[in-house]
Amino acid sequence: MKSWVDLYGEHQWLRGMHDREVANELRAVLRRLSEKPYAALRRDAQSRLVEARAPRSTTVQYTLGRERSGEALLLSELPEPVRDRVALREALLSVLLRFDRSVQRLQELNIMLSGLRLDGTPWALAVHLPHEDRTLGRPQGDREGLGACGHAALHCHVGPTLDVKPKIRVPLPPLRPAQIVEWMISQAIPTPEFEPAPWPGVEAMLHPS
Amino acid sequence: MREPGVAIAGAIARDEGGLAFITCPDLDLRDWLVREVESLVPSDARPFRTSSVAEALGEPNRMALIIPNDEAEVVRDLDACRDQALEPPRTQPIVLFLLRDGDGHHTLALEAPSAWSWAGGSDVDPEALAELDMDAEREAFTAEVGTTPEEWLVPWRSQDVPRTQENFTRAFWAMTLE
Amino acid sequence: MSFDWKALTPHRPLDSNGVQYVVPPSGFAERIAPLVATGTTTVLVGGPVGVGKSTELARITALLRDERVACLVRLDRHENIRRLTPDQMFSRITRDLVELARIESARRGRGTQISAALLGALRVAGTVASQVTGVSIPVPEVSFTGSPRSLLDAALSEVARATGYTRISLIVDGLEKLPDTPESSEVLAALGQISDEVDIIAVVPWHVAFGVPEDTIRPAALFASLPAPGVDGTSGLAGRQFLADILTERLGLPREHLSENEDASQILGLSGVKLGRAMVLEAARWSGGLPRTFLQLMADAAQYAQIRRGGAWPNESDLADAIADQKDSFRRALLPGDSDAVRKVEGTDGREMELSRKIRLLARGVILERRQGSKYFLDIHPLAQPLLEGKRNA
Repeated sequence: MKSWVDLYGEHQWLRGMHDREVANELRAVLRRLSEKPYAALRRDAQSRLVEARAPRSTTVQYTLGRERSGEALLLSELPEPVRDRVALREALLSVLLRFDRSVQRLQELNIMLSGLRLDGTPWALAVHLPHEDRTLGRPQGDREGLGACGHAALHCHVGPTLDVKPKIRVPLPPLRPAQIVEWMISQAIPTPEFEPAPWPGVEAMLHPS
Repeated sequence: MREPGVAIAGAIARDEGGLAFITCPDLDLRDWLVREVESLVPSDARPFRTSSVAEALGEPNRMALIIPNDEAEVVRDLDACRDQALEPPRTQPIVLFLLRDGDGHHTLALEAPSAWSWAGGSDVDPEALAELDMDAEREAFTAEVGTTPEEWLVPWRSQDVPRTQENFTRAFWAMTLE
Repeated sequence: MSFDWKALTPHRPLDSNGVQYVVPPSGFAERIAPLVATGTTTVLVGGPVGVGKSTELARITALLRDERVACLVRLDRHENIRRLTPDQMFSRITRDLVELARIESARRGRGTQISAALLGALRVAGTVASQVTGVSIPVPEVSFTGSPRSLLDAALSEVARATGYTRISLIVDGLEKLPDTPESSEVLAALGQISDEVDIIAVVPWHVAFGVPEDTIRPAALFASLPAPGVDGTSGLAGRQFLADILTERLGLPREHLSENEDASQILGLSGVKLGRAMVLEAARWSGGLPRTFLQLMADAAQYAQIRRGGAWPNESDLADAIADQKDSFRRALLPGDSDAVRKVEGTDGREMELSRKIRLLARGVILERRQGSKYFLDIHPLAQPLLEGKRNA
């Protein structure tokens, strides 16, 4: 039980973020992903991360693209050896973040990658951190489901769709939004070009000579 | 409806070797906006920070981010030296960060028509653009979906709407607009 | 099909080699060059920013080059105009003149006739570099030293003789940025001290245009204002077509792609791209006739299309956002009291407007001088108009 409580605590701690810093981190990742020679996203993806806030509100949101369908991954345009390793025909990436700027806190996170496999069947990957506020409509806040194990606050859905049962919710360590995007792309395009932490680099950092 | 990031990126990219202004509400946000621009521009722009027009002009192949100590003087210098950016032709723009309604904008309006003209249309206030036009957004939502945000959220909250990417996005915007 | 929108370069005037030049409805250069060729020795040029003064000066230079030495001096490309001194101006003119002479001599197949004595003196004075167009200039053992003014006079005499022309025309760009100070008056007066044997065509600041321009540089100077062509209604057809032609030239398209039929959009049949003539004409109307503003609108709209959708050609929404961007710029150009003052003089000759305000707003094109028959009247720029009516969005 304690480890699940600790994980929940780590997710609460994770929420303490400055929205502009998060946005800059995300933009750096999106920029890298949209620059050749290995561009997974259309160029200037970093400028399509849109900041928006309602008037007289401390809430600010960041969304990737105002179009509701998200950003298409340029899978068919990847150079050949990379393209051959991709098991997806098409995929869309969407990023939805909501912050309370007055207390520098991430309230809600939804990062999704979904599309079709090569055989045309659907595939979806979604990382959620539910809104933490407890309201009349959502008295549980970010404590969804039965508990901190089966429904960790920061969790990832994997499946053909998000509705197909059994609904899998993988508990995630406290990853920042930019890291989540990096991880998702690394799952969709599992090649060295899209691995942000290759093992030799990990080794070098663990044991600097 | 203009998006702040797109407006900044477009203003900077529009004229090869041109001039863009980024308007900042205060000095703290100015620092953040400089970092935002650094995160937005292509890697080969090799941006560098300076407070001097001469230094900016001296690096025609790097994006100069001018963060002035004296806005009025920098604007005057830019106005007078503007065409020096044509010879040799710059390949990267100059981006000047000015306080909203500050000395720089006042000097542009009063004394510096050339600099003002060069940056015409590339003069962005990202904080102002980030504020949603709620009426327009609600209208766009309703036109696209056929119901108001509040009406759309009812079946969503009772789990009667499929959990697709599109619906998660709609729910997110509906909660912003309700 | 893709278009090179970076080629629009709204901030860069055309060079004097004539490529991409489009004759404006006013035929400005085509009118001024013959006047100079037939005896008008001093022409002062004015007009709002972005109207194309530098481009027209380059065109005048090209038109005069057939039968005289026509030297285009772009002072603002090398000097901080606010700190310009008469000596700096003379030195820059001399440098450009000598370089032009060497190029002209090479073009006509003759070796340079500029004397080693003059080149050496200019090198010692720092006016020319140790190498000029590939030729080393030795430092003479005993060099002539003279003031920048005297060196310019010497250069003028040698260049005229060396190139075989009897007449030199200096086309001076950049002086419109001179502030209204006594130092600026000295610079302008110094320009006028150049020999009457030399024509001077120069852009001048607005405070000169509203002073006594005829006596500012030389007595009986001709003041010629480059107008922004009208772009509204039937009378604005030529103006809109002029701007559309500039766009096609800069994009490297045949002119007929955006010509003739006012209402049609022409489908090129390549990748399904529609060249929206109607949209281009809409941008022309919003530009008020100022070429730079028009090119900025189109380039801005194209950036929105490119960044948002990877689109080759902007749509109406992209243009609407580009217009909103320009309106923001115009709004920031307005100072307290401007709105009322502009509304009061719209349609009049503007004599009721306080001079410094008029100069400031005319210089930026917030108000534009238009002509109807023999009468001049003030018009409000289309991008400023909604701001004065209190509307903030398109």
